[in-house]
Amino acid sequence: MLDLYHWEPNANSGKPVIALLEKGVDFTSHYTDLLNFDQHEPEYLEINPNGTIPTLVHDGYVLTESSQMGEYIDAAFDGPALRPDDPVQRWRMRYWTKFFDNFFGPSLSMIGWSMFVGPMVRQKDPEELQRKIDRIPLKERRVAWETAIYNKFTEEQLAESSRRVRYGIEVFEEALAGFPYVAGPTYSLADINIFCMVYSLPTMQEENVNDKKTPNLMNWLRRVYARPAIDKTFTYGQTQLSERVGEVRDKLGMKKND
Amino acid sequence: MLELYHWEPNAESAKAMICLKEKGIEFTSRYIDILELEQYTDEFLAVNSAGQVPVLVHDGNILTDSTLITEYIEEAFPEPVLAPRDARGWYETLCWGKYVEYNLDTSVSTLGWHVVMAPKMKQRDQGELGAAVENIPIAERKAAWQAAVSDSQNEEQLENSRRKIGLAINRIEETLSDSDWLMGNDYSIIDIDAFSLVCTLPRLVPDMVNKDKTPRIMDWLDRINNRPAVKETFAMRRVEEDLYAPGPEHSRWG
Repeated sequence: MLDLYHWEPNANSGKPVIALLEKGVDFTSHYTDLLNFDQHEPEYLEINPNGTIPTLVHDGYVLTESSQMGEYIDAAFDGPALRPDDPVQRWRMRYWTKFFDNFFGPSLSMIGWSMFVGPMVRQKDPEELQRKIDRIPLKERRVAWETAIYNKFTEEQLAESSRRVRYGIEVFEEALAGFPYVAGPTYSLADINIFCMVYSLPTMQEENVNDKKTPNLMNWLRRVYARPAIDKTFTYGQTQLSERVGEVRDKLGMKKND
Repeated sequence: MLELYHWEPNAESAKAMICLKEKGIEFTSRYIDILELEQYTDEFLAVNSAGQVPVLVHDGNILTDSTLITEYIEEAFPEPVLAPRDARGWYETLCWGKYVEYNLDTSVSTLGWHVVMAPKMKQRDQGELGAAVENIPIAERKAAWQAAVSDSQNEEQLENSRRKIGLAINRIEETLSDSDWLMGNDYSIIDIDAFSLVCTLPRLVPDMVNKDKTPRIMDWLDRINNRPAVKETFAMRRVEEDLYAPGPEHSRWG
């Protein structure tokens, strides 16, 4: 029995979706609407008391850390290996995953929340919204949601996030110079984890991510987008986020794989 | 060929040092004096452009980030075994590593700096120190050192650090009530990761970590302190007191 609770195949939710599809493992998908705070409903908290998405449940064993989950999926199931054998390449896989999780991701997400998610969520009834915020179990998550929903970001914070996104793109472009994939010669969990955060950069960050400035990054995106598992991944989405993937493919000069 | 760039055997540096000693691996020690800002010299930045220790150089490959270094050592030098190899056990090892780093690395350095280092640093030539900090070429690290040197960690950050240390202490004490070590019956890289931060807490937060409140942690610290690898590591100390340095930044958002 394998159950995956996930939102759009985007950021953290996308990681296990892609990993499972790449391995060819069957799972039951439970779409959990992050923007409707479904992850803080009592029935969800019974599964994952932290109220974070995604959650993977394998024969009763509950996993809640999205990047580490990929290593479990790779080790627990048959199918193509998603981790290189070489320890140095494994270090690269984890190093870059962590760089995006800790440094790049939060900055990109701050910008995204300030521009898109905040305004969307603010359309809800204010009292209902406050009630939903108050029941978020992790303090860090509560503060983060509150900051985003009421747009408490300062100009300095947003400017610093933009700087970090630009810097992150630069160093990642350099890192891709020597190899076709993040960890080295073969596709790995690092490509999966990072793709989930950067797959729409050619449209979201058009001025920073393009064939002139970041050819390695663009070609790496083309290699990952060309994988059948990625096409399948976006069929698990239910909102515009997944529909917008078509625009990114156009930018990359790619058609949908049929 | 193995070289380790490290500071005093505490916090992040200790994780890598103890791990190598436990594996019985010979390495060339390269001492970097963090309080003299040697991690920002051109020479060191050529090794790690992030300006941080520890750095492991293994046959020319440069490995950074203390948690990832212990995982690397475990995979590159499998004997003696210091982590479970099955899918669940390894997943839990990775999660514990992240947990220790998230709750302790930053919090212990923030609090340690405020309580122990800030008063000491005030005795140094402030003009010289300020100029050296001004020259740090990495934006995030410069900001961290500026905040540290002026001791302008706000109350909220100090409180947040104490809160996170409290969470981690509770979890570790609870885990040790079920098993001898954090990953179960066997000593592992997670004991090393956690020990490297927790070992200073009986002195830094004696109200939180002591024989009455956390007897299992005190016993666990004793057992680890008595390991030959840990004794060898501490024998590499140049300073016989707890030192702290600005650690990884507190999460900015989300």
